Amino acid sequence: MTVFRFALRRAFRDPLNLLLVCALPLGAAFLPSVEGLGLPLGFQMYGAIVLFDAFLLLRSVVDDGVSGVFQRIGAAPLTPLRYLGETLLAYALILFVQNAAMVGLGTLVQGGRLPAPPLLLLAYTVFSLTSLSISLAGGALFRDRDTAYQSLSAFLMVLAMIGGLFWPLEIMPPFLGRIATITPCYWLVEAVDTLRRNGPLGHYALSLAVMVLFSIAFLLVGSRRRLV
Amino acid sequence: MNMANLSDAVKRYDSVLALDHVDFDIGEGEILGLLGPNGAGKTTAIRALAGLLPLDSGTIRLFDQEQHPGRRDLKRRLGLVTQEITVFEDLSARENLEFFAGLYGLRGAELRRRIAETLEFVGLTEYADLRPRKYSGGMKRRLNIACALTHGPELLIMDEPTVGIDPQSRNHILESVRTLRARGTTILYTSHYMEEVEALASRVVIMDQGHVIAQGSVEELVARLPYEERVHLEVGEPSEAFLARVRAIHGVKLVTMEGLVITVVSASGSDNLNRVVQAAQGHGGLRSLMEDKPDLEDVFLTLTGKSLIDPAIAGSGKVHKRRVNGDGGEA
Amino acid sequence: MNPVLIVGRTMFIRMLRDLPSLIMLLLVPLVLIAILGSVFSWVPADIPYMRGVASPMAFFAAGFLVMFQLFGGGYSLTYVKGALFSPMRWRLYGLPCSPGAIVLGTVGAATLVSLCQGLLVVLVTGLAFGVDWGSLPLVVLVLLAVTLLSQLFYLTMLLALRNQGTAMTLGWFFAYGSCVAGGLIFPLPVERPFFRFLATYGNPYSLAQTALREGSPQNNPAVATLCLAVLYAAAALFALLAARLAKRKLA
Repeated sequence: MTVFRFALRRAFRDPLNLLLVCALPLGAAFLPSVEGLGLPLGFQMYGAIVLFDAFLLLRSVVDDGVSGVFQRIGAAPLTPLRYLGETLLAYALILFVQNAAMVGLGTLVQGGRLPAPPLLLLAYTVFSLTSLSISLAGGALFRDRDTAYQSLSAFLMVLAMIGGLFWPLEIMPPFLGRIATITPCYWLVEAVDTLRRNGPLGHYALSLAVMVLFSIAFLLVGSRRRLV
Repeated sequence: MNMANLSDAVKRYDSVLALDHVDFDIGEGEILGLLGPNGAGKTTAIRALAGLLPLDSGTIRLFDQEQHPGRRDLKRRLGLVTQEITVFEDLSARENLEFFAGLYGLRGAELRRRIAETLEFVGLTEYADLRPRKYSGGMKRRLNIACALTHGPELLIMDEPTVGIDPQSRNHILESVRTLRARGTTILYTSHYMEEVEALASRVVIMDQGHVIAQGSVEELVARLPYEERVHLEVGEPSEAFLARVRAIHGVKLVTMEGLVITVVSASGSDNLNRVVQAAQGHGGLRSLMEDKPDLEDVFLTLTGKSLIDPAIAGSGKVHKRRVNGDGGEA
Repeated sequence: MNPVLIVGRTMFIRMLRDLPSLIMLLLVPLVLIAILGSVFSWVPADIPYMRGVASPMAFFAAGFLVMFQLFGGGYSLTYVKGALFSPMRWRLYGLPCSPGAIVLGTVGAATLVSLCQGLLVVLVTGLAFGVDWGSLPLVVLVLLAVTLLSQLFYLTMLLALRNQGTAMTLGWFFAYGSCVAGGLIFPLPVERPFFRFLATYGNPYSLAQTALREGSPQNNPAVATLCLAVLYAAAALFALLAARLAKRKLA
């Protein structure tokens, strides 16, 4: 698990960035509820926070693609899939800690407004994996740093909007709702909504399973990139 | 007249003393070679000269005036070829020159003329409107040099301008340096390739670990070595008469023959190669010849006990030299 | 020609050749405005997201216009970083012009490029989507204020922090955070005084939106003037900060 260890080490080499990306968003736990939104405001937007956090955390991997470090990794006796997988696990651990802190804080501050905290944590954790996979796959595609950052951030914004992270899909035209189902963000919203409505656990599990499938798909896409 | 002078220069980076009371001059119209291994302080010295770094103590004089980072008037008369390739990859070669020369005050027709001349000089005229990301390494190096030349500097500082390029481009650059010198430009040329400095420089300053350990012309520096020159040759008709003739050459200390190979040992600085070759003409001509002459690397080795190029990274397959005294013992 | 102008002109050309950034800061907002403006026109007007919004198209046009101007500060960060925080700095320091001139020229070019992008968004949305921007001089003043603030904020972060990646992260927080706090992404609980203040005057996005909204004669031009004054004052503050930091770091 060398890649895993060093990915963690690299993440902690930039403590200010880690603080900004992981600690600052916890302030969202204190945001109040808004009429028309099922969850407190901070938790309504938390999916988008996780999506962008994953991107900001994985900047070093983007830099690896740009700097040519991937070439050296390609010459090493490990597969691209393993490299990406171990990197993903390392950052997933960091995001899990953030998610746990967020849900824990939310439970304290928001009380009963937060549905089924342990299952909510699980949903955010699985979505973290998906977000990391998206950014890993995207970062591995680009050879130019600025193009990578700009393209990825634009893509993630559009993904978040289409996927229903910013506003309820019920208010959107049906065709957008259909498009949303092919985004991983939709399935986080579905999972959280199921918990909020006290819906069937099977529906919740299905949403998680779809997010896991998205993670695997993006990981496979990212690992197919030629490293040189 | 001295174009530049470093006097008792000291520069420290945290615990590293990059320049330790360094003194040297650059005379007008000369090519001064600044030689030394990585970490010797060459780049720090030239950055200080170019006004990019302040010294901790000591003085720098440029064109007979005191130099410090705020002296923009002196910078106008300088050109700096950086060790890294520092050109804008998203501007064409022409646009790069226009930008940098523009900041030196060139305008209009004069600017265009100088750009055209410089592109011609570095051999990039037909690639002038391409962007450097499409260039080879050698072409990028030439553009890197061109950016320092367009404004016609009186003093050109070149920091390892041939690193990492092919021999053809390197030769082109060396030829360009000779031409610039012929046109009157004073040049400070740093390198850790001693053969370049030997070929170009009228005087050499050798640095190591922040000190100047020797300075002078190549001949002066080599002459200080307690070494001998050795020539190994095979002739068509080896004979005692030939050996006697060679022994009679001024400076020859020892002539031996082992098998067909004749070894001629001369005092350092004798430069007897041509005389030995001439002597061979009357004895069946030359079949093979190898000269073992001390060079700047030997100077550095003698002065510091280590090679100019780190043997761990030399990788050229070159056999590291052993220096021997007249009695055959290792120096 | 003044070195600032020479640097500015060259950086301007380089920025115009930066296709990914042009697409990001010009095409993406236009696409978002077009799609969301059209989609939300179908949505009932009494839902929380659209409460108080007369025209969804105008709401998203103004919102994304300012949002992407706030992102535009990345130009200054990227190009100053490329000039003065890379090996290029040795060549530039060797030139007979001050590092300050290089920074000033670069920021000037970035401001101009970002402003042009914003004006193009205004033009396209006005012509193609029928958005009524009201007074064009006011729009230009607002855009200029937001752009300047953004460029100077990003520049200050670059000069203040050792890690340029962290500076960019802070810039993104600045841009995204302002838009979220201004109510572009989520409706804010504006019945609470704190959130009402946040949504009207509490951040650069809100100040810009308030200035655009209140700037017409039938509304409250004095409020618009106040908002503009705050934005320009903030820009001036960051300019002073940046100048101090530049003097220390780029000497």
